Amino acid sequence: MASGILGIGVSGLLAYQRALQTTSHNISNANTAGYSRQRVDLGANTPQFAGGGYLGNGVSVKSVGRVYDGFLASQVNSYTSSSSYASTYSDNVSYIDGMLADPDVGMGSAMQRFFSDLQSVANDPSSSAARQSFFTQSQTMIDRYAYNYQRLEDLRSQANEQISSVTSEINSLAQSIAAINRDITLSPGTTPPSDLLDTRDRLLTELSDKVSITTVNQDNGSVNVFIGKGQTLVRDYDSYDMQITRNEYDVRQYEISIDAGTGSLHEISSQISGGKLGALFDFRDQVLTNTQDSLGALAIGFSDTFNTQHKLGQDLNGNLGKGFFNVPGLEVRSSNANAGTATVAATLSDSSQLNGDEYKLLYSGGSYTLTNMTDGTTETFAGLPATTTHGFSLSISAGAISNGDSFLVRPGRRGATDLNMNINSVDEIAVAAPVRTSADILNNTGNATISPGVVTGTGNFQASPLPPLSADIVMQYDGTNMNVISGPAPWNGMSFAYSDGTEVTALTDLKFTISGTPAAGDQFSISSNTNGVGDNRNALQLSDLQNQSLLSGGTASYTDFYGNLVADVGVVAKQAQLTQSSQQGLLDQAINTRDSLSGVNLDEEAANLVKFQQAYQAASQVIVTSNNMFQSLLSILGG
Amino acid sequence: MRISTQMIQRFAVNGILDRQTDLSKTQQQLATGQRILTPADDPSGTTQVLALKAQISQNDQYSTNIGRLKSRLEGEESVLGATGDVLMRVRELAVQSQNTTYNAQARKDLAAEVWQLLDETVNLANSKDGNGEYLFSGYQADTQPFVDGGAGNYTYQGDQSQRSIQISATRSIQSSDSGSDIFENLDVAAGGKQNIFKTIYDFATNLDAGTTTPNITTDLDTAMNKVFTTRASIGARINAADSQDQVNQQFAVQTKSVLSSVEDLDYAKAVGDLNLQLAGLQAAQQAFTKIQNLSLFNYL
Repeated sequence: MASGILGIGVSGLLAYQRALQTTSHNISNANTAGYSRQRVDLGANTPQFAGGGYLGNGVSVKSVGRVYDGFLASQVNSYTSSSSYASTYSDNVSYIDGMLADPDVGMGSAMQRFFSDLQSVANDPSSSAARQSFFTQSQTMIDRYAYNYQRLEDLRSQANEQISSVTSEINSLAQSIAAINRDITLSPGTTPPSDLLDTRDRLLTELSDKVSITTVNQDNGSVNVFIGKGQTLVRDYDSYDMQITRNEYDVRQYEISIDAGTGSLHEISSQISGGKLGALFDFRDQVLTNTQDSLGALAIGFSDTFNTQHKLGQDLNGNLGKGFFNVPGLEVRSSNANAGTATVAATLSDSSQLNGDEYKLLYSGGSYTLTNMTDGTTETFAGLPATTTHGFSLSISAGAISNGDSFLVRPGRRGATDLNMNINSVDEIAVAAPVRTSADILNNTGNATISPGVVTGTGNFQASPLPPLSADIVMQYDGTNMNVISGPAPWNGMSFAYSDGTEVTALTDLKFTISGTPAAGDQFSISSNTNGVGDNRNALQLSDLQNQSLLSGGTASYTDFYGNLVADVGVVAKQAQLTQSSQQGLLDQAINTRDSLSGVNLDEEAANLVKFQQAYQAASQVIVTSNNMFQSLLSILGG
Repeated sequence: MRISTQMIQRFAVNGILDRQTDLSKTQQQLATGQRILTPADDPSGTTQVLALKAQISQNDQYSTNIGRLKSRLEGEESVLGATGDVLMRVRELAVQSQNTTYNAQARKDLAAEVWQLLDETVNLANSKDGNGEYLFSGYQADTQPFVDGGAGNYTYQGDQSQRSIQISATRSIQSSDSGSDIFENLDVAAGGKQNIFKTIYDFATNLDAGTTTPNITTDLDTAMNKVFTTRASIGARINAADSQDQVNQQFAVQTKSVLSSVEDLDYAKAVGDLNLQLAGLQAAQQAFTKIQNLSLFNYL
């Protein structure tokens, strides 16, 4: 009997000692990340049959387990992925967002100054100070384009570096998880060690921070981890490393491939979602690419349209205007998997159609398919060269094409950095128009006057020897028609019906207006604008370009185009910020729900400490009682 | 709901951090005076700001252009004013010379002044502006408009073109007049056209010979008329530029006020927000210190 009491006392002592130990463990780990509070499950021992009934046999520890809900833990993981995605994405986008609207860095102010200085040249065409100031401002604007390109390019290489470092973090986490899988599976006992489970859960949360994962619990206690569309990262005790590979079109672009034990690498970049890694890919391949390409498209569209007008002018030396800028080329890249040797070239055909989109050109089954990678629309060509509907034409510049060859066309990519000046001196700014008009006022008897006129093309003007018109174009009125009675080809012999104040376009490359009442025999002439250093007509036409809708298919001015580019990034940045805060809220909620169940509350543990201590003391008293009983029995025997 | 010790800590700290973020944004807005700190704060507002700033910059440039236009036209106006005075004096002498009481010698005495007035007229027609450009040679700003070919033949080297200056997005105004039109395109009583210099030259030559010049006053009147109508046209252009300047200024005021309403901060609201956020932050901090002190362990 007494041994029964002693045994029960001892069982209590041992059980509460464990309970106190667990409570202490909880208290010590109150601030450990990912720790789940542990609980001792006590159970009454199997009772002993004693004649009339069963007698209790004390207490023992049934199990020590953690308070844990797998669903809550997986929720935390999933929200960790989306929240880390949102914050990485938002942080990266905010760099571009801030850069574009900054008055000292953005393109808006540089373009405004460019056009203001152009107006000053129009005011004083022969002033070399005004020309110099405009020339310098042009260079400043070009530098600004290049600077912004470089900033974006820096962000791109940063994103690539981060993709590489996050990938190695993912690999090392995967290795740790595989190692813990082994430890958990091989640990003795029926209940797995709580602290190892906690550690593995913490690693899974860390992994979720890097990339979105799905997990499957195995019967043996291991967890298998998958990323993307079911690519295995961890299976039982094995982990499969993700490797950095290079983009087939651009070696500076990092991609991710994995070898899931088959011996060959599969590129899985496009399958990566969530977490830092997903955000880095989306940022790099969407916002960053689109901004860089759009900025380049603006540089190309702007320089091309400006050049077109500039070439209609005449410079200070009397030469026909040449290109003011060197219009940047359009980039085409060949896949490194191409079997053929062909190099494809893209040439600007209509700068108003150019935007920030990228295209994939595939040669297959004897025809070419061009896919717009932004909206997925396709265009098919039976052969090259061919003109696309996107503002450029494609041709094979060298080599031979082979079935299955593919090319990446990104027209705007290098635009902002390849833009530069074509003219070398301020004299070459074509401020004047190459021709001027006059009425033979000393002999004409009518009162008709002729407007200064503009040129609409220079195809029939001679660039050398100067002047552009080898002889004056002389028109004579015959009472009904104006007839060109002398002048160079193709104008000599041309004729048009006179109409007071109507713009005349009948003479090739020329546009002017004659108004008033001419008398028969009156003459008007168009001559080379020799020594026309005070003429500003072309500068006025150039400066009017800023008010015209020359881009985005004739719907946007230069400022509009840039404004849309800024707004696009702004919308993405705003969206990213909102997503970030909502995802953070959801993550906090998930962590709170998990912690509400699994977290340590020190007050609760203090109460448990008191409770178990008292129980321990009581169990000690049971042993004392048992001892007293034994002593009293001994004393009877001894007495 | 059960609360873990970490949650108590986290709630308190997150509360403080959130309030600090809001506070820092309001503080930044107050410091810059701008409502939109990055395009993300208001993407469509940012596009509007860019477009408005471009308009304001263009409008500022038009004001500069108008200043330039007016200084050119005023320069031309004063040259033509002087020309008118000179022609008026020539006409007085012409009237005197036709006086029947004048004999040949008396006419010869007038000749010296007329020769001198001819030089003055040619000089005025060959005037340059402040930038060294000839006023009356059309586009050929570096070419002297009238060159003395001898025997009263002054040939015009310029052209008939008039330069324009842009004074609004849709309007440009001529900032020069062709010397050919002012000084050459003159119908003379004898028929045909003759420039004013030849007219004065012939008049002076006749005076030297002691003879009168038929139709001289009529021809001088034609020339003076031309100068006056050109001056009137210049005056009209200056008026047009002035009224456009007013329109531009009004437009600038309106545009700037729209820009301000899009871009600028509502200070009253921002200061109100700031006070609220400060109070919130203090409350969160105080709550944190109070709760931190509570623990059952204090009583064991």
